[in-house]
Amino acid sequence: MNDVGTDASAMPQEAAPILTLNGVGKSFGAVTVLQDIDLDVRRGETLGLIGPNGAGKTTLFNLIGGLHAPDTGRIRFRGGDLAPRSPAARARMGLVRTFQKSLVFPELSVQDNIAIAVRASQGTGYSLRRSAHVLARSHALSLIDTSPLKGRHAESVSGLSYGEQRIVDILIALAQKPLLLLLDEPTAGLADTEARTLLALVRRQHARISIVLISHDIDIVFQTCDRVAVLDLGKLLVVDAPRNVVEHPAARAAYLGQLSGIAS
Amino acid sequence: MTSLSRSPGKHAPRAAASRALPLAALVVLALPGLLGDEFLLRFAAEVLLIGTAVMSLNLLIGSGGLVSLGHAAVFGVSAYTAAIVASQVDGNAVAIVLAGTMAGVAMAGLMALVSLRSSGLHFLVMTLVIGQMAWELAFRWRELTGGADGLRGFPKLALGDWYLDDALGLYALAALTALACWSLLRQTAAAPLGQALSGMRDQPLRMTALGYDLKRLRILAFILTGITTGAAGALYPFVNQYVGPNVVHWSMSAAFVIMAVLGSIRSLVGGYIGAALYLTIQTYLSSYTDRWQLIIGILFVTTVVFMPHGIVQKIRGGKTP
Amino acid sequence: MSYYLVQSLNALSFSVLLLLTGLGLALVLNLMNFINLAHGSFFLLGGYVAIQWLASGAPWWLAFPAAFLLTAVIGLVLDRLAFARFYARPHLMQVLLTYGLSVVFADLMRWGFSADTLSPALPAILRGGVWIAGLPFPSYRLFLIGIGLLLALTLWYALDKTLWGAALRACVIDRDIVETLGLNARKIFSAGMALAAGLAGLGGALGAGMLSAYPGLDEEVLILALLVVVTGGLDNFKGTVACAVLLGFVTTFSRVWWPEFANFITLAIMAGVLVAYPDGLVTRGGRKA
Repeated sequence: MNDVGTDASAMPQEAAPILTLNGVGKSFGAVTVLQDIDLDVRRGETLGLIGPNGAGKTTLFNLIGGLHAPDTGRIRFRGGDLAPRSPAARARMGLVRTFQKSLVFPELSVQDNIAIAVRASQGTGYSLRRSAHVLARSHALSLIDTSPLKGRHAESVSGLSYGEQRIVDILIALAQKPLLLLLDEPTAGLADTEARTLLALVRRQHARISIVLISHDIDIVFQTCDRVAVLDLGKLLVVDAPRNVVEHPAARAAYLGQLSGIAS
Repeated sequence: MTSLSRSPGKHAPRAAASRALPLAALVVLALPGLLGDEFLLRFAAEVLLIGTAVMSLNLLIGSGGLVSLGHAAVFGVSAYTAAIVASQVDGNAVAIVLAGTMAGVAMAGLMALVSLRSSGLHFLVMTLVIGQMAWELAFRWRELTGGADGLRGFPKLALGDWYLDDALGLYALAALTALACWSLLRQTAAAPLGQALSGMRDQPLRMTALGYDLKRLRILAFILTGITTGAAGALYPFVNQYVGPNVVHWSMSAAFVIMAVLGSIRSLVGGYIGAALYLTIQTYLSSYTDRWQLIIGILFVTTVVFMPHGIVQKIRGGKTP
Repeated sequence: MSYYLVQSLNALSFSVLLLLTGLGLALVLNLMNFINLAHGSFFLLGGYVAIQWLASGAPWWLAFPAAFLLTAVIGLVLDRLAFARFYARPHLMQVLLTYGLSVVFADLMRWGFSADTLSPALPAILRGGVWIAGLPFPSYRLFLIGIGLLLALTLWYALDKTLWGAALRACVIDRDIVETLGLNARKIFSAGMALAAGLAGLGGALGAGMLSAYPGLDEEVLILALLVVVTGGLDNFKGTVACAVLLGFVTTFSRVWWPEFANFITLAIMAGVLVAYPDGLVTRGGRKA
């Protein structure tokens, strides 16, 4: 059961939601991780996904991304059922995700890390021609130049700091030209300024993409998200604009007052 | 020394050395030709052909731990195909190399398809089984393969009216083939496909999340190695005008893996160096003592314990990243 | 009909050997995540030991425990000297180390025991045959089946009902948790390696009366043991038992029906099983850690 807010957000009501979950549930053996999830992600919105540890947030991403299949329910992306599609196929459709850890290619430079993603979106990833390689690298360079890593494209990724690797991680995801971006705790372990820079980077690149953001940083979530979904013990408690979520009794109980100190 | 995945242009001195490499290769290859000794030429040819197979194995291993214990079967099937076809085409070198290469691709493709969902130990055993199936056929199908005795008496290589039956001609052909195969794999390493293959090794989950089809990448890797291993295998029977089931056996595959590690897995040239080392020691030792396998075994175990990243890596100075 | 009965008993006796060897390999794989390609060498050594023992005139029934002990000790020594630091290394390195060692052992055994095929001098009680459904059947193979069942039951009891078995099972399920429980992982690993080697040696000793002993047997047995372990499913022993039986029957009956290409058929069938079940015939299921 979840409450869908009736508050008309500042977002213009566009066409159908880009992502729809209906009655989605998942168990691993005897453990029920997700139950009866009904969720829409509207086009162009940033949806925050919060909840205590073990609530099932990353599992939800794994289901949307295709790593696991849901036991019940359906997931639709741009109107089409995702069930028959492999994770790689979903990525090619514009459904892009990041992981809690930065999964970068340790032996490659910053530029080549991103070029690999560029080629994936351009369909030249399997080519034997060096020209495709060169083309992708120049695309990667222009992407890097818009980020704090400008000028450092030739450096090896393994020499970068944690925060810098996170930026590379995000750039890789952005290079895939996502329509829906699933960010799994993108700012975890980052200093405040680093975190803001990261999220500004995402917004600047694609003003109109839809984003689902998992984060434990309530400040960031409430400042950047149009709506917030609260997950607890596998159930969706509420999906609404931030200020309504703060008032919601069940959400407050789940997070034990963490929300109460935030000015709406 | 070309690494499978290094960013091009990262270190200027390395890039320059990389460009000078083909020239150095030509010089090295010309050496045995100048020395002219018949035995040395045939031995060098064998090293080049086996080295090409080992280099191809390096590509597989470097694409994500695909340690194949059936690689000798790819090499051996190509060799047998070449020897059998030789009688049909009167030794026409072009037809023979073509036939052998296609056989190599077919065998490698078969291995790819069958092992598509395997990894790690499962992959090891899967490739071992397929390879041994090929060996069983080579060993027992007397009418086709000569059985335990192998094949002899097939025509020598010929290009038109020109017979390549002397050691120098054979060596030249082997050197050309090795150079061509090396160039192909070098080109692959620098191309998007090479980056994708090492990406598959380092971050398979991310590669999937990027939209890469890992199964397709695997098949491509196998086909590429099938081409190079098949071409080298096609010439192998003509080194000594003989091919036997030993070359298909999984112990040969294991020897390939040993050579790959001796030379260093992360370097394409390492395949040739490992093959040269192994075959030289084997040839030298077996003429002195019956216990040469014992000595090679001890040498190898010592290398694994003290120089796990191979000799090339040791010379480069430092561990594999 | 009776012919198939006899062949089934043949298959079962071979399955016993496969089970003993396969269990050892599966044990080190599950316990220490260690691939041991020298496992076949233990088997062959056990065979040679049994043959020497039986030829020496000592009590015949001690041949098998002797083989078990000797190979177990060697396994222990190898664990201390060479294997232990490779337990955490990547599988490729383990493959290289153990394969290299198998080459060394093979040549040492060829040197010590000659390249001839050796057969054991079986005691009178185990020689000869019995009549089963009107067909002759070697008594030795009945002995194998009997011992096999006994050993399987003993092992199952030890694993399932004793504290030591519980510790071993705990280690297999979660290697890291072991230390926090106050158990000495090093000791358990050494014991596991010794037990695995001993089981292989015992298998070889028992097998000598059926397969004899010769250079190359180690390689053949290794392939079979690998097949048993991998097709059975890597994280449980039930699969190993199931596949030992499967492989025993496939090997025996392909010899009956296609003698010339029996090995090819056996490998083809096992390859089919491997392709159809990439996670093994029997898996434990549940969420992978």
